[in-house]
Amino acid sequence: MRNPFGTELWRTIAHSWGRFLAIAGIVALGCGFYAGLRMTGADMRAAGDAFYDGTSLYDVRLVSTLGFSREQADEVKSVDGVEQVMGDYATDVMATLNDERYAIRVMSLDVGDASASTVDATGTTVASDDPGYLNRLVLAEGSWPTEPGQCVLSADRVMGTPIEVGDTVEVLYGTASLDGVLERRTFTVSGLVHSSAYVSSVALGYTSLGSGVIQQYMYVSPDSFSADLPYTELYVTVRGASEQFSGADGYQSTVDVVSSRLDDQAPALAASRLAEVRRKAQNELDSKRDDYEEQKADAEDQLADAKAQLDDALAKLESSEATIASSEEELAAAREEAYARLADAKDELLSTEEALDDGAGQLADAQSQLDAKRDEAEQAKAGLEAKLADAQRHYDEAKPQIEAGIAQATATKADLGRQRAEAQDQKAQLEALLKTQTEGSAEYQATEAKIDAVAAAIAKLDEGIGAAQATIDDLAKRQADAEGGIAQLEGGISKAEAGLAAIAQGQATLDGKSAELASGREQLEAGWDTYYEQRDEAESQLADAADQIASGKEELASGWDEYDSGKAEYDSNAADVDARLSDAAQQLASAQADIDAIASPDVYVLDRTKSTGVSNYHDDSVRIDNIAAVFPFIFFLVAALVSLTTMTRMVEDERVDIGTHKALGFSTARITAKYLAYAAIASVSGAVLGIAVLSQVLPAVVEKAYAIIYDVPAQAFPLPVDPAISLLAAGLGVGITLGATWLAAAATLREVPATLMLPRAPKAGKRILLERLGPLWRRTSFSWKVTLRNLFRYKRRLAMTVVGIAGCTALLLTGLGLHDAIWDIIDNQFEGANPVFRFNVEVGTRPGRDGRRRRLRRGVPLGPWLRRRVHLGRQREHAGLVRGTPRHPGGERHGAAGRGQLRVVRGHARPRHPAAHRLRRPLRGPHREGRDAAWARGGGHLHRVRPGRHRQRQGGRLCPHPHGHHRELRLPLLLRGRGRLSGGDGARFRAARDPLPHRLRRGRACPALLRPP
Amino acid sequence: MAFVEFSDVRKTYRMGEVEVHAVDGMSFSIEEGELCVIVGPSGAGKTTVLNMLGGMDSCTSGTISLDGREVSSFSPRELTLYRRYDVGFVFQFYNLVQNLTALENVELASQIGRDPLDPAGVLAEVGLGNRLDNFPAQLSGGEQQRVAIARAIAKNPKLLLCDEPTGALDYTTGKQVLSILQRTCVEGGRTVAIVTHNQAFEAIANRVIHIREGRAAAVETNSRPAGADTLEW
Ligand SMILES: Nc1ncnc2c1ncn2[C@@H]1O[C@H](COP(=O)(O)OP(=O)(O)OP(=O)(O)O)[C@@H](O)[C@H]1O
Ligand SMILES: [Mg+2]
Repeated sequence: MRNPFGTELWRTIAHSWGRFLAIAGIVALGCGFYAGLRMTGADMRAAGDAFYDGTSLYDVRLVSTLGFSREQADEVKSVDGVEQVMGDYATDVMATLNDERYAIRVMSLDVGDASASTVDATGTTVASDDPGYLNRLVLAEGSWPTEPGQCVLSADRVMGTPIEVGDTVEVLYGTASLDGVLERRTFTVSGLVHSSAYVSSVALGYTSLGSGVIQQYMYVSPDSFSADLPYTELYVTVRGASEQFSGADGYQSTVDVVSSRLDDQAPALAASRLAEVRRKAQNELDSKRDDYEEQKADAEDQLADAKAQLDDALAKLESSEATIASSEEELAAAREEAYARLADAKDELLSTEEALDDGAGQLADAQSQLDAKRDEAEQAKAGLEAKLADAQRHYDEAKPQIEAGIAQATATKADLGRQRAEAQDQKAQLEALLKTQTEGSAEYQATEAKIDAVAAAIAKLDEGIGAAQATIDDLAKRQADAEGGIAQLEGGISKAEAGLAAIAQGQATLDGKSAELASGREQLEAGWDTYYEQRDEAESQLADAADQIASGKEELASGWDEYDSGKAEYDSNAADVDARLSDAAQQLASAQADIDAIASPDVYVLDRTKSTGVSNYHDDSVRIDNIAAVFPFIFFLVAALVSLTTMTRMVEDERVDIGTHKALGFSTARITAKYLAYAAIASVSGAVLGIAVLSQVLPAVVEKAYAIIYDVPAQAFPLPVDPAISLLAAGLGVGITLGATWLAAAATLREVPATLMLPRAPKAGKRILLERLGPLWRRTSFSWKVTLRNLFRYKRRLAMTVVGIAGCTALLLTGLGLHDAIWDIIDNQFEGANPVFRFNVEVGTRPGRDGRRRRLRRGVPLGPWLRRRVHLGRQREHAGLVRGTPRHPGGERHGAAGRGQLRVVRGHARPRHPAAHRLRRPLRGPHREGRDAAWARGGGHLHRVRPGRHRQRQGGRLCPHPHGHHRELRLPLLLRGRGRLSGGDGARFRAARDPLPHRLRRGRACPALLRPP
Repeated sequence: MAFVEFSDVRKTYRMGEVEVHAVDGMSFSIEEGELCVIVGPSGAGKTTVLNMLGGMDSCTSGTISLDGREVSSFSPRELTLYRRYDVGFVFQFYNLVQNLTALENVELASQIGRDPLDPAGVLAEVGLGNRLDNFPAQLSGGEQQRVAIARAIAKNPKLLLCDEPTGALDYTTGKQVLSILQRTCVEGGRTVAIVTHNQAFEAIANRVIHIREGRAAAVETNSRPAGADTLEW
């Protein structure tokens, strides 16, 4: 009988494809991701195992600090469980390739085996007739080395400049001297290879060179290594290991058995190797010591000869020195005597001269007294004569006047006497009249008045007479005076003339004495002449004698010089010989000490877990397992949510049907079965599809991504599907879906049919808080009101929406956040406000030939030097420099190996603030000129100076060079500090805005450079 | 003891603070083989009574018994079996499964019945012998109601319960449906209870129960009911 119940189930599926596919899809994703990721790690390991087995990768690697001899390799091969042993030469070097320096591991390759090997289509398996050919290489490009001096490099390392066949590798130096290790220094690239020993192209291993990591590996033919070089390392394969899964426990235990045997063997290997090395070195040293003894005897003989000669010369010199001393004494005595004689003669002459000088002095005194008297007398006489002449002239002039005056005064006196007489008369008349007149009358009185007047006039006239008489007396006296003076003068003159005559007599006496003195002086001069003649004679005799002595001395001195230089030469030779001998002795001793100190070599037994490539690859595959343990559960959670909502909706939709079925008498279990069946069909088909697809796609995608780092060839499709993981994944997916379905259906199915017939009584619409905000609620549109009420009414839907969106957002944010976090680490490390590493370039020194390090000094330009060596932005390494300091990513340490002064540059081109620029290579832009042009990077302003030419700014602004022509711009002027530059002349400028001044760092200050543009 | 016994049955719905006494001390009985019409105004409690009788709802108090068994004290499992074997229900709104054809809808009921009738035969009986493979959506309301009746009859139940079987039908179709029901009762010897508010139906009933405000207000018996064809309203 047909089953309408089943029919209905199929029809339900047919009518709700969307619902069905949603469940199937999400289950497919969940199960697929889980299964796919769980299988990815295993698939990666399987791919690795296939590659390792296909290329006969070693299982154990033996490394000795003193190497291995060929016999030791055979010894190792005879250890139980060891299948194959391959000896290998290897050394780490710094080499230049395409103008850049790399730390390269150089290894030997059996070129014959390599050329004869064949590779399968996938590049996984390398077939070779020689089972002892281990770590087989896969040729990716070019050809195997056919002639000495050719090499193959890794095809997988990403290099600054891609390597091409025909490129040259120039080996510079190694960890120790390369003499005795490498026969040649230049290799030509003949091909590029993949190597299973170096599956990780980013971690090839560690070295003491350069930045500490190996950046390339290089295989050369064994004859490129020195003939007597021991094997550096032995590669060993373990019997039965290749059948095991590399990295699995079985493999590890198989290898461990043999490793521990080799470990037991290691001390014996070390001891035999030590003995061998010591024996060799001792032989060499002994022959050198014989050489030394011979040379020492020789040198000592020669020194003894020279010593005898020197002693002879010394004796001769000392005797001639004594002779010179005695003749010097004689000369001194003769000189003393001559000088005494001369001194006596001189004293006599001098006393005579003194006497003469005395006489001359007295004479001169007398003469000058006489001259003074004469002058005085003559002056007095001349004065008197002048006065006499004067007086005579005055007298002659005044005499007529005086005589005229006397005459006039006499006349006046006579006149006045007459007038007096008249007035006497008149008075007498008036007195007479008065007696006539009554006393008291008018007339009387008038007459009285007249008498008085006349009396007055008489008095007056008496006066005038007196005066005239006085005038006459006076004049007469004057005349007498003048005559007396003249006479007196004339007397004086005659007295002066008598004095002058006496003086002339004194003069004659003096002249006589002066003539006597002159003759005395002439005699003295003759005496002096004689004295000088005698003195000169004596001097010249003495000088002659002295000259003779001096020349004798000179001879002696040159003799001494000769002796001294001979002695010095001898001394230095002796010291030199001594030093050389003791040096040699010391060297011999230290060589002996070295030989004695040769330590027993460390022999390391390293399995694949110690290989960076293999272990990194394995670790990364385990990392994927860890991701698989967490990540897919998010999908499972989403699957549960999706199933729950979908099935809830479905049960809700079919509510009346459920009621009908119940009313018809179907049991709850039967009705539930329908929904469970629906969910099961959807989830099982989804799980199957998801697992089938993603277990292929995911491992392939992850392996492809890892192929950037790891050189492990991908496996061929279809990849193996792990049934246990698939079942677990499917079980989880289906179980979760069924659980969700049961949750969704249970509540509804518990209801009685009567209520199922009715539409579900909606949950009582509660008033929400917003409704209490009357004005706001009234303005809300109807659809918003419904939406808002429903939000709080259907809490489960709300929760599901919120959780779902939160989950999605979290996933997205996690992805972006991870990205940001990782970049922030880089920022914090190297950039930003307070980075851990503040420098782009570190400059150090390394020892020169003399073993001394150049000292780095501050304040000396390093710019051009840096520019020569460092391409900013694509920094390359200069190895062997300062060690133990942190490195810039990608950039390595830079060294000052050349001549000239260096300066520590820290923070060179380091952005100190957001607007700083960094110079960036390579040359770009339409107007590029010259090799030095550079572009600045960063957030500040750039001034375009001239085509293709920008200046770097550090703290300040980019400034055009005033002189324009770019050939002059050899050193950019770097300004440090912050803020803008303003004004200023010469080298002076000030920093506007910021208190921190700028500092000129290199180059010459140029006024225009600092002028605001 | 009568075939169907309601004694002092109460059904109270609680809606928050308010209690609605849908059925409030209902007592009546129906004899086996009778066609009983239950009439009353809207909201009187007719559907509630029918649901409780059909085992689709439980009563709050009182006892309901059918054929001597006390339905009101059945466990959910017994109720399921009771619904499956003893009762046929015709819903007011047909309640056909939309995904199944007319025949499949009937088969759905008959396959779980104890002694089911031939689904195609039952459908032919209700006049739909040529519409077996039509989906409900392809049938008219009357036809759907007839499918629903066929589905109820096909289980061969002792008691056929019909809630407003003609409520959504026109006069002629309603008469057709009524005559089918009467035929089932008279010819099939089944007890049939029809809920309606149409008092015209009283004529065809052996027993008429008047319900008012959750109580059986009056019970009339009619020993000579009229044929459904003769009914006029
Ligand atoms: N699920 C329920 N919850 C609350 N009250 C209900 C419920 N079902 C019915 N009622 C109430 O019980 C009373 C009887 O309802 P019922 O459906 O039995 O009426 P009726 O007589 O069938 O009316 P009509 O002729 O309109 O179908 C009504 O007042 C109704 O409101
Ligand atoms: Mg009703």
